[in-house]
Amino acid sequence: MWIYEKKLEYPIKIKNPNPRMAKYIISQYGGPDGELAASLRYLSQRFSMVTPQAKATLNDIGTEELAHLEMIGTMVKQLTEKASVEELEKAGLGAYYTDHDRAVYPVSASGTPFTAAYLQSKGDPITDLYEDMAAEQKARSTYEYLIQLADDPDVIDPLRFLREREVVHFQRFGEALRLVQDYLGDKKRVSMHMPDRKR
Amino acid sequence: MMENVGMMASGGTCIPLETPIENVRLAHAYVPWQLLCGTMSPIQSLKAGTIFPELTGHYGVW
Amino acid sequence: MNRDEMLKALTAMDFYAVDMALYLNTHPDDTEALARYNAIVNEANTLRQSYEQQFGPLYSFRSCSAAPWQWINDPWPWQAQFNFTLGGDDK
Repeated sequence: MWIYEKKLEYPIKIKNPNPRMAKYIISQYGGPDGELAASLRYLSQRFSMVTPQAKATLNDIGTEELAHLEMIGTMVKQLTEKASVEELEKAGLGAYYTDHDRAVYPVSASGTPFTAAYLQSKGDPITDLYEDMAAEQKARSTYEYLIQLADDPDVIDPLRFLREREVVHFQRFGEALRLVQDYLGDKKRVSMHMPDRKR
Repeated sequence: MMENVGMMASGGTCIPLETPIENVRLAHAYVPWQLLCGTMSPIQSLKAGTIFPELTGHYGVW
Repeated sequence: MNRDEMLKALTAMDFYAVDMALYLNTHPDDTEALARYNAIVNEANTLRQSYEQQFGPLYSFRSCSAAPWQWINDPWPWQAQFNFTLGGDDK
């Protein structure tokens, strides 16, 4: 079950309203490669995982993604709460304001409402883990694009944190894949040598 | 099972991943196994987004 | 420590534990990693107890509360004033 801890995983303290950035950042709330898709994907896939390591990985990364969802929602709220309606409209949030005021609602940057079509829970644990690795890369790229669009350190710092988390999650899913592949398959005696690296 | 300690190369440098990757098959992808070397302090880690220095700086510098 | 300093230290230690726990999920036999995890969790829990005593419960369903029920109190984590400034390159 989930217990909520009343603090953010990483602090969000945005001094300057920026509805333009809110419109983009909301994609990591309700968009195709965002944190809601990630949490639902992993927390759904965990039921069909094999090996204790993979089950724990899906469970815990899914849980951490909920904390990231909270961060994104917080950023959107802080970026819009002090903006006037005129400022919201000028930033392209007129249509959003019509339906939601300054509320946080799961949509992509282009206004498409969240859909479960953004995720898959295929049942085959190997297939699911490849989907998870791809999802982490897509999220990483999205954070990189958002970082390019942003210019406020209060906004960039949390985005950088979230970007790095995607890289770490990718590594963990990659390790889970190794374990599940070994568990489910036969090993052939072939060795892959790393190219020579500077130590 | 994989070794869980970073290998010490001559000169005492800890290598935070397995080399080489053994037992590979066609039509399968392999992410190298991470091995523990050192971790950053909690505050440094929070700023970096991870406790592991070897997991920073990938896919370009941001 | 004031509230911001305490929250900053706790946030950092709890984050260390999260990242180490994810590592341990795929490296359950790494005793060195486990020792670091346990050490941080103990330190964080000591600080957490202190924080809750001074500033109120961090958990509903699990933490005790003074009267009246403190859990509902502002600020909530999504409010800017709840959060500390992480700052520059201090260690």
